[in-house]
Amino acid sequence: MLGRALDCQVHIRDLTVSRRHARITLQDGRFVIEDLGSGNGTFVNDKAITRHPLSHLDVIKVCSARFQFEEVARPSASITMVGVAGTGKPEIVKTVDANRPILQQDTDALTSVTSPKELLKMASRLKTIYAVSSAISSILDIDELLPEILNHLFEIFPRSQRAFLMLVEDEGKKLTPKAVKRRNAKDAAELTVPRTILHQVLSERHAVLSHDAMEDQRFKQGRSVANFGVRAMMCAPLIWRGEVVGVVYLDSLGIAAFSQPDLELLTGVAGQAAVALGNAKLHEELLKRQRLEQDLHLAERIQQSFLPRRLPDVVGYTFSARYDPAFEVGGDFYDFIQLPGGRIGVVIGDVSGKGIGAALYMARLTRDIRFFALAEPDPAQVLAALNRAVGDIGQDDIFVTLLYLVLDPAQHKVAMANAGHMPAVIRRAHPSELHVRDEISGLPLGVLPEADYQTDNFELVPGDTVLLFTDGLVEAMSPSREMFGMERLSEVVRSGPTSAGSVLEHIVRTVQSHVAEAPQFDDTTVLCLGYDDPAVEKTGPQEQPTLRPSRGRR
Amino acid sequence: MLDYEKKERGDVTVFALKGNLDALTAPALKKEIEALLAARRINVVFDLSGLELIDSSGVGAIVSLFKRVRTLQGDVKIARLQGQPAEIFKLLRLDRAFEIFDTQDAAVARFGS
Repeated sequence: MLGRALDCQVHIRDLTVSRRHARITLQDGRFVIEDLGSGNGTFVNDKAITRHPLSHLDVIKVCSARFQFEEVARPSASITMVGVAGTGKPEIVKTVDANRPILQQDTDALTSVTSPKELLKMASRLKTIYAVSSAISSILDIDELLPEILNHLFEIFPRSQRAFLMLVEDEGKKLTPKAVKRRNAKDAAELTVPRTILHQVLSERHAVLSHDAMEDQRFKQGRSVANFGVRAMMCAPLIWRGEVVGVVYLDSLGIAAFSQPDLELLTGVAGQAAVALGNAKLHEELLKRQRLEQDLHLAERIQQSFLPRRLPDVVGYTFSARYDPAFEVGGDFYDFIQLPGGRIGVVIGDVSGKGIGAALYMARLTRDIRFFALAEPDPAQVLAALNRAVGDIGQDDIFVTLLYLVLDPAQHKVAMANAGHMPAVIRRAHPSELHVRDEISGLPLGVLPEADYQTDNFELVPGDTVLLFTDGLVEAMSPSREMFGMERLSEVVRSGPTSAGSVLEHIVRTVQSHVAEAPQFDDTTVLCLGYDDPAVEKTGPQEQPTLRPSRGRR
Repeated sequence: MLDYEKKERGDVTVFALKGNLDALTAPALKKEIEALLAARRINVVFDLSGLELIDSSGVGAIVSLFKRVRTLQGDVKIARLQGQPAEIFKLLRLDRAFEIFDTQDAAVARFGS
């Protein structure tokens, strides 16, 4: 995106540029530029365009800004927006090693310099550097900082006519102009820096003072080079934490506009500018991280708002639920749906991925499943319909494992279908045994639109318990990085208390002691439904679940 | 840590993955996937013989590519599935979506047939 708006990748600070002026996209393997209805138009090779496929070395003009499009051979490669391939033959006059801080060089020199004149010059230079440093070090907004750096350079070097600040982006692959300042509005706002100079500045980390033959529109219009003489330029690297993060550039048409002491001073100022820039970048990252955290909090609130607030109240049955979010918001969810004929739908699922995207996906899913559950009695059909519906959400890398169960408490019948979710575990009371129902599982939702599912039907007798859970339960890690595992879970269920509410509490406690203080990376959800056994109730009413822990229940 | 090797075998792009494909490393693979789609390479084999661990974000990256190449009449096939990733594929029933082969050659050859 090219434009005046701050969030444009190519941000052009020129009031005649529209906020969103033009955009460049990759279409069928070619980069295409489109004008977005800008006020002053977009030009390619001086022709106004609305949409235009770009070719190598095309010149894009947006008001006062000009860019050269360079296509790099790699298909996924980015576009380089600064012309570095100048044709001029620069004569490098002086260089200053910017690897050592200029202040350090000065202090070292102090011990050998005795002439009062030299000392005065040094003192004045240090004063300037100090003044710039204190003026810019408190600016934390990069968009404010960069022009301010150029303002100071113009003040310090009154003979400079143009100043540019470019930042290294894309892991050093790209040098992008970020700020421009000109004394005369007629001066070109585009810049071509000869490769030899950029090499000196970026690789050798030298500040460079050079003279270059004029290479601009006036020159092309046939006037002699001699009329304008040569362009004097100074270019210095911005080095922060040992890395070249950018470049400052000044030029002038004046003969001998810059001197060696100027170059030294520029190197010193550039050092301070780099520090300020580094601080501003850190500040920006911090803000970004805070926004991300706020996003996660919001996602967590969205997610929790979908969890049911109450457990179903069904005579003869006990429901319990437990939801433990991991330190970040995860993708677990569950729901109870009141269906016609007194039947109860139970949903447990896990959305892959975290954050707002997953939470909104979940929002859509909880709504859709209620709709399909009410319309369709067969769980396999409900999942098939749901799977087709989530295909339209358009989040390619999200999928959902989900188990959907319908309990008919009058007939004591269960119908269940599974889309790649952890299997249900059924504890039979008579004879006492465990069943892990994993035969019927199908693909997770959102993988294949035509996936189909099967329904598993079974009946319950008094004392039977059905346990549903998410992978966070079996994958719960101990401090020695050992998973809780399916076998341990089976053992806990087999040997645990017989009433439905207490089973869940027992599982949760056992997993908690397995985990101890180890951090958990996934949500854990456990649901339990039990057909109450009147015999158990008679012998021990204190066995009745007095506690139904559930963070989702309020 | 994830290492991957990308190889072009005729019309088929083979990714040999080594290490962990999880929330931390999946973004790198996603970048490769975008490049692949931009270049219209729609026949892909993942050789998972060196993959030690996959989590839901990792599966998500592969599923995402699978969904997108399918709309372009391409396909994703899996070769040399083993260890924890094999367990996850089994648990998620992904063998119903992906064809899985014992050798890389067999997976690549399947595109020709």
